[in-house]
Amino acid sequence: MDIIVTGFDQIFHLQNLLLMAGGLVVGIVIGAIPGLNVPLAVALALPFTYHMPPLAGLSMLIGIYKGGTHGGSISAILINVPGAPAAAATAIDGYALARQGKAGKALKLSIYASVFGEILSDIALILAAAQLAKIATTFGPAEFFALGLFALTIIGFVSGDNLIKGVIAGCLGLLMATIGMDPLESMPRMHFGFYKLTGGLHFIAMIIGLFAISEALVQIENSLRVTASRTVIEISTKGDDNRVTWEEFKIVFPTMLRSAPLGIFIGAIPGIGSSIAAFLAYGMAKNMSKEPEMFGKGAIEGVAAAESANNGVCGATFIPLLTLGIPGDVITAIMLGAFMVHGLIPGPTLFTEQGGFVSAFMIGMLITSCMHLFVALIGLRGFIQAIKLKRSLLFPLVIVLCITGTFVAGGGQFPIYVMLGMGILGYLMIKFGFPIPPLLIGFILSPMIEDGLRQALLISDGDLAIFYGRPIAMGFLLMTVALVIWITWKNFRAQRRG
Amino acid sequence: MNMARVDFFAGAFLCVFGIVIYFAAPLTVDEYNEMGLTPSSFPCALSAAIAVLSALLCWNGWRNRDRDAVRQGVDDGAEDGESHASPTPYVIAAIAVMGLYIVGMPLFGYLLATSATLLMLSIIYGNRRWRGLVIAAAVAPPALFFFFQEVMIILLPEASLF
Repeated sequence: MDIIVTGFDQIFHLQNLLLMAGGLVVGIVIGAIPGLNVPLAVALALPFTYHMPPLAGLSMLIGIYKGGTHGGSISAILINVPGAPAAAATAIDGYALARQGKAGKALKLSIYASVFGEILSDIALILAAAQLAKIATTFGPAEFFALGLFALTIIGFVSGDNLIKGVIAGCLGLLMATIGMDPLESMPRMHFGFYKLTGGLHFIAMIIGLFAISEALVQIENSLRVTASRTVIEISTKGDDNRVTWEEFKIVFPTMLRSAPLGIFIGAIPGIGSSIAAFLAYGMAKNMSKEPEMFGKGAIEGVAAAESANNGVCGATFIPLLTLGIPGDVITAIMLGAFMVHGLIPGPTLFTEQGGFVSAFMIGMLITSCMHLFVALIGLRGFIQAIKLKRSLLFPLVIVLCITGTFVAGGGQFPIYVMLGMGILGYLMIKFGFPIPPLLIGFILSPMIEDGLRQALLISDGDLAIFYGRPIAMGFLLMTVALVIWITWKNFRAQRRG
Repeated sequence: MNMARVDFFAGAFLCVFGIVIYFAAPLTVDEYNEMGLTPSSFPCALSAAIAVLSALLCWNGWRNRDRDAVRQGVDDGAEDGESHASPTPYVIAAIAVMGLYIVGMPLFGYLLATSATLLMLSIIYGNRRWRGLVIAAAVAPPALFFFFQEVMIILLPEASLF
């Protein structure tokens, strides 16, 4: 109880509340602009949090994450171009509604459904996290090694079409993390004579390079491409077309009630992501609807299902992150970086050592979700204008912000060179079909795996029985083997078919 | 270049990279306790894994070279309607501008370097509306400078040349 009171006391500061609202605005705007995505937005904002108190900085990033996840639906509804992959399911019925002159209704419904999904997801996080963390406090090096290996199987889910390329990218990430000081013997390694590398690769520089600079370079290609300009559908002035009526709300509420838990469940499992949640919820809503033939032609349940599921993922992805220290997707991987920048290491020890902070953070997530409703409704007309922003002005500004941000966070020129190098690497990876998320996930999990393995072997005097003699470690190892076999088999079958 | 050829060359490059790192990693560690796993064991194991997987990727690329060449031909036909210039020179130009910005920031100061960079990058991104472009290059840097220096109290580089 004391921890909850401390949490409320820590989070209820004007600065935190303003940063949450600011984060939501930035997130919705960036999410609404096709070509800009949530990982880019969070990566870009990360250095700005460097000089803020941890809770204030993380509150802002949470606002960006939640706002960005919902913001993708604005362009999906108005121009049929999802601002984020997760909004693709929203576009199916949202755009159909907009073409019928009901853009305002679709946009408002997407706000209600998103906020509903977020609130349920935050409550699930609050209820589940502490319980899971209690179990995780019993973990030793062997368990952490096994957990790290298990978490690496996420790579199989985020690798896209080519599993080999994904695994290579993951290994590259694991290898990059070994640059710097050896964690056990505190001696420099992998610096190849560049002594500035003994401090390791600057994490913020790496994230900004991989996710923001590479995307900005890819967008040069898109800006050269001759494409037909898309017309933004205007919001109708008719009352009923512009709002969700009580009758309509009664129709969509059961759909939202089914879809949000689905999003929460998928969010809590590392590696699956909000796009799949949105499409599964959309499919489920269609199957359970009394009028399935209306789906694709402007069914309000379609918009509600997709949005409540994709935002339902937001809070739940923090369950494995906060309790076990493993990121569930790219955004939580970047968020993990944000925690580490502020000297906080997510995992069971965070709950025991920083209980007040964890409590404040989770309450902050809930407040952000409530605030989301008002920010999105009040600023709706302004956010629509964001779609019209020119990329040729936006991306140069993004690049300048990346470089300035890295300078601010890194405190010198060297991290900026690292950022540029990572940006070029990220661009080449995209061009050559290598997925970037496995690289980041490998980079993050590398210390957990290496430290766990070496410490466990030191404790057991080199006896491998330490891994199969402990039930939790053994369980994780068995699950890892099973998942690796399943992913390889699935990939092999897909290759033979395709 | 079709994807099979990309896989072949990327696989070959990464395979060589993995082999080089495998032999170079132990040389970067000065001296260590020979008992158990050493600081270079993990990097060596990872570079070996990269070499093996890259060899597999390279082999896959070689095996699929004909199939993907046919597919590439079909795709090229489908994309005929889209006329666009080769992006490579533009991407290289953008990277060069970023490099110049990083080097130029301490020499010319944040304001001047940022204005020039914004101007050049906007042109690379295809902006030819000169009035808007000049306004953005003139307004954005002071706004950023004010935000960082006055609001966040973080010192940005000042010109060392003048």
